[in-house]
Amino acid sequence: MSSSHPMIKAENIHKSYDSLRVLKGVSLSVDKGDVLVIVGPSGSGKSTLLRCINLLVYPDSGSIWIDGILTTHHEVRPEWVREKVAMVFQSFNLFSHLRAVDNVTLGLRKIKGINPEEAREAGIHLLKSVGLEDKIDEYPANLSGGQQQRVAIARALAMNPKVVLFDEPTSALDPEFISEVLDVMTRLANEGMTMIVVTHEIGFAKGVADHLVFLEGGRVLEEGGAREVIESPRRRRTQEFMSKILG
Amino acid sequence: MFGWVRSRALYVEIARFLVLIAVILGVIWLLGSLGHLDLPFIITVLPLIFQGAAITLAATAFILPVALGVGFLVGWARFSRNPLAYWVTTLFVEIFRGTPQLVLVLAAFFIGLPLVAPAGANPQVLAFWVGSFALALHSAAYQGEIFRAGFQSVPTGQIEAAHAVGLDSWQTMKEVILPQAFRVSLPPLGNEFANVVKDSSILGFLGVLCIVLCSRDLAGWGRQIAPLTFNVNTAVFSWVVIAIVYFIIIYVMSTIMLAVERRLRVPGLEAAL
Amino acid sequence: MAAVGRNSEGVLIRIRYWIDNHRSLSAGIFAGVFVILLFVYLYSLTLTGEFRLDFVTSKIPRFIFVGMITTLMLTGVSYVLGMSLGFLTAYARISDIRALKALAKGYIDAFRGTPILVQILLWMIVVAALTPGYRAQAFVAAIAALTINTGAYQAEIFRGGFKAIQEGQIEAGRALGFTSWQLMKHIKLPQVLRLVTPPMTNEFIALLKASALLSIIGVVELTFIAKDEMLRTFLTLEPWTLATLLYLAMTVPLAKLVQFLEIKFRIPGLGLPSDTGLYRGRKPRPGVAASQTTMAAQSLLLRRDPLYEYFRRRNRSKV
Repeated sequence: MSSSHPMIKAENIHKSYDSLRVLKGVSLSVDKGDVLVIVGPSGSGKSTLLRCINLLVYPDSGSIWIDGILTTHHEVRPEWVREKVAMVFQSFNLFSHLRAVDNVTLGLRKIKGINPEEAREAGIHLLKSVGLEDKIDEYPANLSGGQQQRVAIARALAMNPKVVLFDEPTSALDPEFISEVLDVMTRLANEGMTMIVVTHEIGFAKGVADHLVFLEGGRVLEEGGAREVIESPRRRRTQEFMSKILG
Repeated sequence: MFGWVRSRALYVEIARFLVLIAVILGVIWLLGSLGHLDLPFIITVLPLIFQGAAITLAATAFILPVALGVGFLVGWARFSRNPLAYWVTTLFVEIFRGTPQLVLVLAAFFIGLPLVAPAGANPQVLAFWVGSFALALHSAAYQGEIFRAGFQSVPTGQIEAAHAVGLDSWQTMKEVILPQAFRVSLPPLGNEFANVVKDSSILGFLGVLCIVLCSRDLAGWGRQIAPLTFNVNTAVFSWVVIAIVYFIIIYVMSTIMLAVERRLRVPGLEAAL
Repeated sequence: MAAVGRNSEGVLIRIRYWIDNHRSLSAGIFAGVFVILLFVYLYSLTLTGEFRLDFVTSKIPRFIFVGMITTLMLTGVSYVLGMSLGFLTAYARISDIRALKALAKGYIDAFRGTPILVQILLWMIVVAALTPGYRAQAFVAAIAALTINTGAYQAEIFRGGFKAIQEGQIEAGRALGFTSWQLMKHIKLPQVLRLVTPPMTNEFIALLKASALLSIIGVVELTFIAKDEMLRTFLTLEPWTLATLLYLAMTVPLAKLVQFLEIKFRIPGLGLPSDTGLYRGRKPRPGVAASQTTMAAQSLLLRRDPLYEYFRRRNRSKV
C-alpha cells in the first residue's frame, strides 16, 4: 500500500445474464505495479469480471474505481476507461484486415489522432519490444498463435495504459508458443505495469504474481499472496483445484 | 498480389475469349453456307441487337449503384440492434425478395408510374426508369442479405477488442467492421451483379404492353426480331446471339469484379467459394 | 454507491430488451400490425372508390384456383423433374470421367449464365417448331424451360453439398471398411441432405418467382391472370395487389421454412449460418470465428452466377 489509493478497486460486483448469475458480489483491489492472478474453474466468472473492469460489460451493481475514479458512475465515458485499462484476449482478436503494425497503431491514429508516420514509428518500436521486428507488415492470418498474441499485447500497450488485463492469454496457444508470450508478460510485470491476469499457468503465477484470487461460482473463495495460496491453500476446494492444475 | 491483372493469365484469358468468338463465327458461317440460316437477316438485325445491348448496359448502370446503396443500408439495419430499423428492413427484404421480378416491374409500371409521372413525360423513358427502379429494389433485398452476412462474419471478439482499444461504436463500425464486411461481401456481390444483368431482361417485357415500344433492351429486341423471320433456325439463332451478348456482358463485369476482389485481398479474409 | 450507469435507461431500451427476449412474438406482432395497417389503408381506399373491393371478392377464386394452382403445379412438377436431373448432373460433375464432367459443366454454365426469360422464349420456339398445331405447346415449353433451368441450379447445390463434406470423413469411412455405396448411404447422403435442404427450399422459391415469366408465352398462371384481369377491367391497383399478396403468401412462409431448416438441420462444425439477427453481441462467445464457413454456407443460399464462380475458382488455384 505505497500510494494513497489502489490502482484498481472493485466492490461487491454483481452481474447476471438473463437468469444466469455470473458474479455474486466480487471485491478485489490491486495496487500500482502489482500483478494479480485470478484462477478458477471454467464458468466461475473470471472473464466476466475482467470485462466488468474495463466496462466491456456493465455490472448490474457494485462499484469500480480506477486510479481513484469511480468508473461505474454514469457520467464516465466507457471509452475513457478503456484507454486507461487495456485488454488482451484469449483468442487474440486481431483485426484481420490490418497488418500487424496497423493493428497496434489503430488506437493511436483514430483516438489520439497521431499522424500515420509517427504512429507507425511507435508501432514498430512496440513490435520490436515484443520481439516481432520482422513481422511488422504481416497480416494476422500469416502469423503463428504466439506471434498474434504478442501483437495483441503490443496493441494493448500502444495506448500507454495504466493497467493491462489478460484473459487467459495462453490457453488458445500451442504448447511451443506459450513461453514466448509468458516471457513478454513477465518482462512487462518487471517493468512495473499493473496487471490482472486470468491464467492457469501456475509457474507464471508463482514467479511473477504478487496476489492471487481464487474465484468459484461468482464469488471469491480464497485470496492472498500468490505463493501462499498456490503452495498452502486453506480451503479444501482450492486445494482440490490446485492439485488438479498442478497435476 | 496485384500481378494477376497484368500477368500472363490475362492474355490467356483474352486469347481463349477470341478463340471462342472465332468458333462461334465459324459455326454461323457454316450454318449459313449450308442454307440452315438466313445470314443476311442476321446481319440486318445485328445493329438492333447491339442497340439493345446498350439499353441493357444502361439499365444495369442505373440498377447497380441504387441497389448497392439501398442494399448496404438494409444490411446495416438488419445487423443493427435498433428494433424498428430491423423490422422495417426485414419486411422490405421479405416483400421484395418474395415477389417475382416480373410482377414487381409490372406493378411499378401500372401502379407506380401513373403516381409519379409528370404530365407530358415521355412514356418510353419513364417506363425504363420505373422498371429499373423496381429491379433495383429487388436486387437491394438480396444485397441487403449479402451485406448482413458480411457484417455478421466479423467475429464478435474483434468488436470487443475494438471497444477494448477505446474505439466507440461508430469508429468500430468504420475501422473494424466495414472494411472486413465489405471484403467478405465482394464475391457474393459479384454473383448478384451478374444476376442483375440477367434480370434486366425483364425490362424488355414492358415493350410488349406499351403501344409504343417502351423499352428495347436485349430481350425486348429478341421478341421483335424472332417473329420477323419464318426460318425457325434463324429465330432460334437470333436468341442464341442474344444469349451470347448477355454472356459477354457478364463476362466483362465478372472480370472487373475479380480484379477488385484481388486488389483488396487480405490473407485470412478470402471468403470460401 | 451502486450508481451503475447504463442500466437505468429509458423506456426505449426496455422495449429493445423485451424484443430481444421475445423475438418470435415481437416479429408476429410487427407483422400483424403491418398487415392490419395495410388492410386499413386498402379499406380506406375502398371508401373513396380507389380500390374496388368487389373486384377482389369476385375475382379471387380465379386468382387462387386457376392462377395459384397452375403456378404451384408447374413449379412443383419442374422442381421434382429438375431434382433428378440436378442430382445426376451433380454426380457427373464430380465424377472422374472427364467428358462427363465437361458435359455437366457446359450444361450448368449455359443454363445458369443466361436469363431464364431468354430460355423460355427459346423453348417456346423450339416446341412450336417440333409440334405444329399442338394445343398445349406453351405448357410443354414451360415445363421444359423450368425443369432444365432448375436442374442446372440444383446440380450446383448438390455439388456444393458434396464438396462441403470433409475428405477426412470419407477416408475414415473407407478405413472402417465401407464400400462406396455404403459410404454414400451412411456418410455422404445424411450430411448432404441436411446441408442442401435450406438452399433447395430457396431454389423452390426462386423457381416459383421465375414461373411468373411463363405468362409471356401465354401460360395461364397467376401473373397471366393478373395481366388478363387488368386488361379486361382497366383496373391496375387491384389485380397487382392481389397477385403480389398471393405470391408473398407462397414465398414468405417458404422463406421462413428455410430459416427454420437452417437451424434445425445445422450440423455443428459444418457451418450453416445461425440466425443471429437481433441477438448479436448480447452474449459474448469468445473465440467464435466462423466467418469463412458461415459465408460458404451463406453463399449456397444466394443467387450465384456460374461464370463468375468459374473465374474465382480458377484464379484462386493460381494464387
